[in-house]
Amino acid sequence: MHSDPATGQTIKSYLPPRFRVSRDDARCIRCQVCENQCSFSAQRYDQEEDRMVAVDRSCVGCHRCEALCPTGAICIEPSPSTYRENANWTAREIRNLNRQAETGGVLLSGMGNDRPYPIYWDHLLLDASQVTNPAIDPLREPMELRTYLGRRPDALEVAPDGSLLTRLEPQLALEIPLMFSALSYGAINLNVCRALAMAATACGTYYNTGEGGLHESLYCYSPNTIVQVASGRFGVHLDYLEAAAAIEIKIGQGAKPGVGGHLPGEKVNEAISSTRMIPLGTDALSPAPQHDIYSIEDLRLLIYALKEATRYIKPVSVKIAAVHNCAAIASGIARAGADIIAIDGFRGGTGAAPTMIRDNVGIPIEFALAAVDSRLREEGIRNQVSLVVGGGLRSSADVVKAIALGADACYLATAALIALGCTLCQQCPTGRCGWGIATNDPVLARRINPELAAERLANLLQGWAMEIREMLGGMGINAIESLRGNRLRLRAIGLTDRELDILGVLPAGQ
Amino acid sequence: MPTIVPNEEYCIGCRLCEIACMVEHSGCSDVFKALRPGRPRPCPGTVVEVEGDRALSISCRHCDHPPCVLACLTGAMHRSPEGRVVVDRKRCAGCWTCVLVCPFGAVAKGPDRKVASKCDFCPGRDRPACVEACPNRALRVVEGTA
Amino acid sequence: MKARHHVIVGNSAAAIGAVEGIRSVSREDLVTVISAEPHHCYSRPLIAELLAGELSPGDLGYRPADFYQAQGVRALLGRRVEAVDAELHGVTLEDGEFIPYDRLLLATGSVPIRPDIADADGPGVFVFNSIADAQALADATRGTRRAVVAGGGLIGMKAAESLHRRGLQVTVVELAPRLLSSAFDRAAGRLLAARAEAAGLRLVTDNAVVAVERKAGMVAGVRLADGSLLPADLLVLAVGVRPNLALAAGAGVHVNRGALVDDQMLTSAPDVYAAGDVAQGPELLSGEPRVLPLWPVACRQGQVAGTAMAGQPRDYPGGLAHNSLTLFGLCAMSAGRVEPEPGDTELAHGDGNGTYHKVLLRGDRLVGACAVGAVDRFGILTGLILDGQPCGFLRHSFPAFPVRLLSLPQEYRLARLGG
Repeated sequence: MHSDPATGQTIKSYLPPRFRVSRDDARCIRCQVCENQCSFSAQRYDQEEDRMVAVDRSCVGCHRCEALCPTGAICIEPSPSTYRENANWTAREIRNLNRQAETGGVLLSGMGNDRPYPIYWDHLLLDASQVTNPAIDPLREPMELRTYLGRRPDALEVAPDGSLLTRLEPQLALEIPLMFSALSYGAINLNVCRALAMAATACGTYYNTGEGGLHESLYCYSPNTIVQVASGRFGVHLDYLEAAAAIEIKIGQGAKPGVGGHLPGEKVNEAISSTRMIPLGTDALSPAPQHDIYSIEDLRLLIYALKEATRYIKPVSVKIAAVHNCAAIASGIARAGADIIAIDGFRGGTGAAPTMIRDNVGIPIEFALAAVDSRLREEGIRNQVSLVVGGGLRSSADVVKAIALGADACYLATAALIALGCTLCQQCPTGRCGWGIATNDPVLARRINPELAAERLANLLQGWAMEIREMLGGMGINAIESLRGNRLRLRAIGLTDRELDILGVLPAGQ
Repeated sequence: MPTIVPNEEYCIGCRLCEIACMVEHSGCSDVFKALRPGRPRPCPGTVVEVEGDRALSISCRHCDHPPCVLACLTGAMHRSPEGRVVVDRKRCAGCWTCVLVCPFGAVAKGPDRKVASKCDFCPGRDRPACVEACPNRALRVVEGTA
Repeated sequence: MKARHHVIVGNSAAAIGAVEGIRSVSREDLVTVISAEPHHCYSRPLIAELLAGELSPGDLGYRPADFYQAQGVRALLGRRVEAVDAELHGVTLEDGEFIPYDRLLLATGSVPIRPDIADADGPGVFVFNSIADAQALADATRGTRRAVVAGGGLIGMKAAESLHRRGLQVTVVELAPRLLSSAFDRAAGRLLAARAEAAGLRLVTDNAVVAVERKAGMVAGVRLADGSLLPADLLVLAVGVRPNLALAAGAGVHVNRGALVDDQMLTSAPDVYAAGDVAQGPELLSGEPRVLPLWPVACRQGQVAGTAMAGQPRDYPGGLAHNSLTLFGLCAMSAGRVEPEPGDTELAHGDGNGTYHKVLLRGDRLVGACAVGAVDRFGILTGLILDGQPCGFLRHSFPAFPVRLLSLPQEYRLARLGG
């Protein structure tokens, strides 16, 4: 509902609810767990009638109540109320139009693009060994997943006594080719940040602070921390840079290329205000561009300013969204002195983004990766940077395919949050996340116990690592290095010739 | 002796511990059958307090020097051979002196209002039902904190 | 270290507390319990249920039947101690036996006060303090219709309710303007009185029984101070109890209202301790020695005496008055002060529907609490009075009840709950 400022009249919404809380009353024990767990006030106990009552209109489909109901009495369903079939004017379009008619504002969403664009991972298939180049059993043979991210020299000069003469640029050492991608403190709460830091540390990899700054209690995880310098420069000070294993300059993110970060004021509490160095309760809007980077030369200046400030001992990464000319952009970034290029595809998640931009801007990471890797190889500078890709990678299979396409390592964020309970209800901007993830409300944030969450995240990484080893072994490969950019181990199905060309992959059967 | 230690940092006030306790002590393992409306419910051995943005599940500490055992008018409140503080229901006279003296408020009037009711640390289980049921690890069994 | 011989005169709350206190320290020390009553230790408050006919004497046992044997205690039951020789360190029994002691505990309890009532001697007039009293009274109710209970305190009201449950018409006569004034304030007392009256009890306040009217030697009625006459078939004297100091003087024990003891229950006589209703020991709030004739206080005093007697004294900050009473189904609890003193803050609230709560604060310190009707988790308040924990938050949270541990500082919880 919304008040018209001119007339004071409320503009009502007559939309049917999106979800229905379906309760088997015969199984309901009136324990009221659903009521105390629903952060959208969609459940209440009616004392007089002695029964639970649902407010379907308030339900956002997060499934928290269903998950915790001790008798399994609840089922959250899409509302059976339907419009007449219309492939052009779908229920989603009708809903969006009504919302805008009510509010006159920009439609905001959380998490990544949910539209049915093709998923190219699902058109790629992996090879396996049969007869020749036999498969390797990862439980019996050593399997190297260790990955280094950083600038590699063009050539190595070795002294007669075997010592290395060439000075090596700083590298990040990852035990597995997986890292946690940027999740800003503020978009998520400190308990989740801590869990990511703990899990990254336990698994010998890294997590990324995003543009929320680094909370003081997380400095102990420095050796496994990548800090971000984004357009709002939130929380960027010298200690912040010193605390990092690597520094990432954020030019863009896959969910909203061309737009800056957005943390709604409701989510800016005392701790976030002090960590981000912004006033309490204000929207934290990052500018679209970094206002001191208007050319590739400016980027070079910032990269080297950061390297100077940290005495050249930390790799500097540059993160871009996957957009049309990302191959040329990446080439420029490599030549500007970046050690790592991170590319975020259009499925990338976010705490808040304009829906139109989230759903219509950017390109799939599969294409961006293939294009960037090919271009850098063509220009003979592929060794100058490591490529890290992210944007809705869902499984170890997606990761293996990404590495075969040319990635050095993969960034995970949405998958990590799903491991903590996220059901992609897309209500992140409200700050009422029922799973305690995308909220700073102290009551809700308690739902993430960092110890428990870190275990789940570590389990995720270990499980994927094991699967990667299995898939590599299946291909007769015992080192991740051998898979990198090895597009011959991929085949495609259901793609056009042009797509095959861009991806540099042969069709299945050939 | 191990006790249940609640963690107010991670208690989400869901009350699943209370439910698990009631099911465990209902004589019925199906949560729905045990707590069906109309069926008499045992008193949960743990109380979930909620105040402001905090919640906490509080149960008997099975103290080394239990005030309830000392004050009990009939000797019904006593220490079991395993060291747990338990109520002998046949001897309890429902005088509620235990409720009067427990500084944790961990003793309740039983559902029939005749006999005192409290946590018995779930004899016969490896871990108390409440600890297992907690979805956020806000209850732990810790050695020697009584 | 040679085993000591502890002699305990008495067999109730304080005595058993002492036995367990001694045994928690030493299994070698010898312990002898001497009691004039012939029964195994029993829960004295349950004589109300005995009188009501809901329990039989065998149900009143306070400890298992093998208690004395299991604790290695010699129990001389049904034998009275006549005198104490503090110099010789021995007690003389009624039958002449002399029993020496290294340490002596006087746990002789209290005796009912017999007020000055004309013609009270004779059949039909009872006190209510022991199994024998309850049995005599129960027998006397056969064929009678009306009872008068002199005294509207804890004992009087319990006796009255039990007689009511036996089917008698009961009238309680209380000297003060209100009932239960030792344990409850006017508002709480009135709620309990209302419940009793609703159940059929008659209550007379600001009055006292001054004479028994007899016909053919049997009680026919009682005359009150205001001149009125109440028809009655039996009279129960329950105006109060006083410490049973029969042995104290002979033991050379300094007495005031009761036997004066320090914070280890030691009297002025060497190696002589006193605990329970007979003792006048430290009281937590006032710092003054007080007689607190309450079961849980006696248990604790006995335990303190026992550990001290066995050579391992424990800290004792003093007793606290605290009561749990259920009268005609209405529960009431109180702890600490009943009435505010100058400088106390009194916060009281009744919902008009049988529920009442009150707390007394002195500065930020909780010094008294009372609850009627809704008494869940009352012990938290008792604990706060005992701890001396600052309770300023009650000024804002009152009348919310129960009081939550979450209202207290986190350090308080961490210290007591662990973690």
